[in-house]
Amino acid sequence: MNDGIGPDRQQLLADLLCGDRRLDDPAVGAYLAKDPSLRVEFEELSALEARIEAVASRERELLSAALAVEDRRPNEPKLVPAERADAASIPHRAGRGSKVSGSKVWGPKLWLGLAAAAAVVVAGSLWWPDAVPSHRDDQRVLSGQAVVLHEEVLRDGSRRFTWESTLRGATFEAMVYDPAVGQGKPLAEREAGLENQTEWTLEPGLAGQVRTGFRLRVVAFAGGREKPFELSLQ
Amino acid sequence: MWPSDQSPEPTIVPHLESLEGGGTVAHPADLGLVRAVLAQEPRAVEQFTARMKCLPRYVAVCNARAGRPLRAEEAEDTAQDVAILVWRKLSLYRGDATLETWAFRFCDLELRNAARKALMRRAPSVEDLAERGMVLPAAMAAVDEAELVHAALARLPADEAMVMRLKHFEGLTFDEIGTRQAISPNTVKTRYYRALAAMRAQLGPKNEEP
Repeated sequence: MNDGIGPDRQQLLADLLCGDRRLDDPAVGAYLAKDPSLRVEFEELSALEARIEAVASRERELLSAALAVEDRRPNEPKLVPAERADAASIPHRAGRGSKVSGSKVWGPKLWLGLAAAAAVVVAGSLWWPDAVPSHRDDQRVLSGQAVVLHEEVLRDGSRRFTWESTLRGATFEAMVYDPAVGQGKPLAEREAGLENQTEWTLEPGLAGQVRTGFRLRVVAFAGGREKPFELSLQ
Repeated sequence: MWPSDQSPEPTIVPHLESLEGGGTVAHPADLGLVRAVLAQEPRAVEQFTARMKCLPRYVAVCNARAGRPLRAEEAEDTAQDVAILVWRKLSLYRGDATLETWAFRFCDLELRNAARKALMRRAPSVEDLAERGMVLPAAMAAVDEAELVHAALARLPADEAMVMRLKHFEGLTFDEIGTRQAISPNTVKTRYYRALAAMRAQLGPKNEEP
């Protein structure tokens, strides 16, 4: 410290930074009159404080966005901002009691990589899932109205899509299409159906043609408006 | 079988008395878990593995926020790289943040590096850059800035760094920090001021884009 005020100066700065004292406090004003650099130092430290807080708040926000998706459970739809859609599109493990079959929820490359790394640490003792639930769920949010989409591969090879909607009185049109081909030539289509009919099953022949990356598109019609929702299929 | 499909698992009891740092460990339970993992305790490894399943989602969120510089398969590869990195760095975990937060920082950094490589590889068009221009550089700059701040934090004395982390990264008040650390609020504030002053010396003023 450079002013002869010594520890008092530090204490004053600490008090100012922690909000215990204010710059317009007369006692603080007296210090500032004796040491104008105090204000400069306070402003520099406040700027640094804001800089750290910006980093911290960004981390908190990103973590919270990821954890919000992580915490989802079937039948407990949670509205998330549209920018979290990428995370939501990652297959999510099913909750307790879900049936297990052979499809992959977690990317095999990821688990192989993890397993290889883990083997260095705990050779032979590490567990990694090699079978995952066939049922998975996903959700998309557009304009604050959610349709929660589910995809389920049945034992006979057919695929059942179901969705739940917050749109009252909506009817739905659905299609499965290859993004490389476009929506103009869908693999399969379901015309707009009855109100609240929220299920569609692709018979095994068609279901067998679905490839990873194909998309399920559900368009909800309600109140003269339409809203599309999509799910990337596995 | 998923770990959660089994009956509820007992939480790993950390060997608190053996933890280094005593009161300067913000998350002793997580540090205990990591120690148990490093000691090759199978149940601990299972718990740790289950918790690290958040990594692909972290990468996905970071990728989305950055304007999706990585394609789906690249994001998957990045998540894999992060997982390996986390394993390799596990012995460096000190319990300063929760395991998930600690791992998240690897996601942040790896995604930035992968995005830079991907952009160089793809040599994006002017239109593509213009489209991403408002998002990607800012996102990368945010990661760079976070790296600087965390590096400065890491160079602080442990007690001061702890106060700074609890205040900003965990959102505690000074009183709450004092209670948690069993120190007076005044001591908390003094440490906070010292930490800020030391970080200012390390970081200097922020370089703003022209």
